[in-house]
Amino acid sequence: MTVFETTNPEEIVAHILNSVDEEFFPLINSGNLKVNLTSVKKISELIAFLNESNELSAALDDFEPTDKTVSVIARGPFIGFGYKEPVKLAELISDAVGFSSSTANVTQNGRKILKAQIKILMPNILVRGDVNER
Amino acid sequence: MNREDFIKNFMSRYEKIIESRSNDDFEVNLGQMTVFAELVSIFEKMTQKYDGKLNIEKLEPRREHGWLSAELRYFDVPFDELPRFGELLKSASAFGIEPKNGGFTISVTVPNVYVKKEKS
Repeated sequence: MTVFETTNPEEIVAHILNSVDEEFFPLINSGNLKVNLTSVKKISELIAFLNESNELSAALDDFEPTDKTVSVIARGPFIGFGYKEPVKLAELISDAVGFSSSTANVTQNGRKILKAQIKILMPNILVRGDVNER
Repeated sequence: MNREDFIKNFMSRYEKIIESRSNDDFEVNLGQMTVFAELVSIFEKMTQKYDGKLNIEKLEPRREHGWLSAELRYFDVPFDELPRFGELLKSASAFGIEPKNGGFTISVTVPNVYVKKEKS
């Protein structure tokens, strides 16, 4: 698992294209398949929101070309959303196709620290080239 | 005053306020109670599926808010329940996940599952 930390939409697109299997290259190069910039924008907003919350660190996980999904992972000593944040979280994951939680051992300054983790699976990263985006 | 002392002090005052209230002065707020019940159902299924433990603590009218937590090692919302889970979260005032005992505790607070009765 490689984790890629950014909220920059251009870097997210580059990460997705770098993760795409070679079999998709002809489709992308011919314009029959393209990165869905609307989804990329939502992912960028989600990562930014998660990074603003508490001591969370959110990042992109590997792109899954077969499912055309990308995972957004957030980790922290405590993951908490309060006041109006649950509403914002709900809005940002309204398109998600997966939401799970677990723990992860993260090495920090040479020490292993147990952190809470949420994984949000965002869909439709690659769409047909002739699909107009909203 | 450090953080721990502040929380102890705050909770002591909070409990005094709660104790001064009567359950008879509060009634069920059906909309929020339905949200709470649905979340209980989702978490109940998760604790059964992943061998966890569900806690519904201090649900009584004078406390107004509903709080539930589940001790789990893994939690996932089934794909077909995800849109509803998102809608339910919109009615929550807090949602948190804290690592604990090799797993984690996931908790949700739903505000105003009980509301003060209007004086007639």
